[in-house]
Amino acid sequence: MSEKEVYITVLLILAVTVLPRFLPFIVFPEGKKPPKFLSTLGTTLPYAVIGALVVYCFKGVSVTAYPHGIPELIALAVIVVLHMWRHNTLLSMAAGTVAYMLLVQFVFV
Amino acid sequence: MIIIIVMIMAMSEITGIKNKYKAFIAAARVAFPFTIPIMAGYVFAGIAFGMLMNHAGFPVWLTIVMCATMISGSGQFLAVDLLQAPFNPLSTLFLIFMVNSRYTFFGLTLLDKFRGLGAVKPYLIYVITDETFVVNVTYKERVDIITKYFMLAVDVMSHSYWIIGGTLGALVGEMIKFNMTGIDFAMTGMFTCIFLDQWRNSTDHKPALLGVFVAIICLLIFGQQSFMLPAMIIVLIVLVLLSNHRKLGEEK
Repeated sequence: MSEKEVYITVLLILAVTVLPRFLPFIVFPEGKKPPKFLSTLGTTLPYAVIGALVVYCFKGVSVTAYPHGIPELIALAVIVVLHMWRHNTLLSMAAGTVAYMLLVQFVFV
Repeated sequence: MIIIIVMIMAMSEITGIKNKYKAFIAAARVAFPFTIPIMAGYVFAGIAFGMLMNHAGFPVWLTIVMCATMISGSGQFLAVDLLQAPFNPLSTLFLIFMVNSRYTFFGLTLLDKFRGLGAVKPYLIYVITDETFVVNVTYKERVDIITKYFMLAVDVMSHSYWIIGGTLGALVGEMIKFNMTGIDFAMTGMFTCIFLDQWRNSTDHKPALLGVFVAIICLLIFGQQSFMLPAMIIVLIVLVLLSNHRKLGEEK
């Protein structure tokens, strides 16, 4: 991406970060009721999007080439186990990232 | 620029008259303890974001501008990744829109609560985040505190934490040079934790599984550079169709 394309992308991202916040207030001005199906969608869509994003995080992992996704798998296990146990996002995130950094820098070089 | 104008507009509401200023300070005192968990989260995640940006080679000012104008953890973590990929405006627009679509649903819940709030309303809408939404929605109104000032205080403080975190992260990355290879895994950590939290807090796991399944299929078909756009479109179509029929995920 060229420098110009970076700035265009940042502006596009900004636009679709601000728009979803204002959208309901624009579409349903004071006094107007949103339809029922939207509230149902609100309980399903965020879950599906995060599910897809987790897959997105592992998109570059190759099982066939060295290190066969092993560092990712170990770091993911650290996050899952720690998060199920302590329910602390900061702790799980930090521990998983540090574990991954150590693995790719010192173990699977 | 916009955010500064919106913020000044919101703050002018309280700086105009002395009584209003006093009422805001009173609300801010009550609001501060509620923002301490947010502070921990935003400063830490902000530092991680700043370091990611620095590791990717972006300037400190861009990190600060993004934190000040976007105030979106997941969106910004994803942005760092997208900014290093080949230029693809359409996919970027749709992907970030879908990630941030949850703000739309937060907004739907806030329609009534934000009614008639005057000058502070645009700012309160601009800075809606997962964390401040929870605090503002669950807050039990008090007679001695003006609710909109409470929400304004929560939002201004949280907004500041996020900017401070991002700035710190970018500066730390700039000044202390160490091998940051693998720090990109912070994004994986963030989304995995959100996924696990959502899994624990819901009884119907079909939407989450649908997202995972559709993304894997699309990854296999379209390849890693371009699979998220079709995946998001399919997920959206399926969920819109289902929400008209069955009460999927209703018992949450």
